[in-house]
Amino acid sequence: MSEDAAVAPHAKYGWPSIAIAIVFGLLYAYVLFGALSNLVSAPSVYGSQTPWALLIVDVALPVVVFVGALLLGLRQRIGYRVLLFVAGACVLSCATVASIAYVLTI
Amino acid sequence: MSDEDDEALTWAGGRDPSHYETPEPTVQKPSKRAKPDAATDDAEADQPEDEDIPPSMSSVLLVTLGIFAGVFALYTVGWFVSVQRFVYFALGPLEQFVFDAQEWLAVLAAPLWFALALLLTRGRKPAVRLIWLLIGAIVLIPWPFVLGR
Repeated sequence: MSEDAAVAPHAKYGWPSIAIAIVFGLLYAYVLFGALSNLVSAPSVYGSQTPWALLIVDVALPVVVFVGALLLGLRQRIGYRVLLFVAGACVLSCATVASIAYVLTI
Repeated sequence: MSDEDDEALTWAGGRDPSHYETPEPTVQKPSKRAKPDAATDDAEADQPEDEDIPPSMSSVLLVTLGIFAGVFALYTVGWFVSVQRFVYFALGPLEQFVFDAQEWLAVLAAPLWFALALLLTRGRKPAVRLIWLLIGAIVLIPWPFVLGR
């Protein structure tokens, strides 16, 4: 909390925040990697029924969400920065689970 | 006995010297302020109810926030039900672990979005707060529940 209080008013982006961004960036990159491998492998499985829009959204979403969480957290204290990245991971999880649920209906 | 009957049947305002038409001034507030140290918590707790309701928090906004709270609660239930009945076998143990974690993160998504949207927009315009909640209500639709999965 003392760290929070030190960071809060001036929105400094110190080493702890950079480390948090890197850790969550790696997690998001894992999701991005999975989406990319789906984009490559899905057409051979689903043929003409390939859900291209969904595959492309799943690839774009990790990047968009990471940038969004990073920018929204710039003015916040470090605790909120972590929570924003966690919320971003939740949004990505929703997209992943929903994508799998949709693909299983094809 | 006869005096009481008379008082019940007649208006005493004209004759009673202690009667005033103006409402009595409330004496609670001066008494609270008189001992600020002892009753600080009480005073702070009472103030928002009595007089310090911010004008921006209109009743329309409160009702809209309540509707959004209900929507996000329903989303949470929707994701929870979907996760409970969703059966998916991943290719490997790592993939399975990640998917299980993602299922629970998906359940957490709606309440976390709601809390963050309200916390991080404190002091902003009501429209900004509602737009963030609206974005969440669009992004976090429990599609597995809608699709029957």
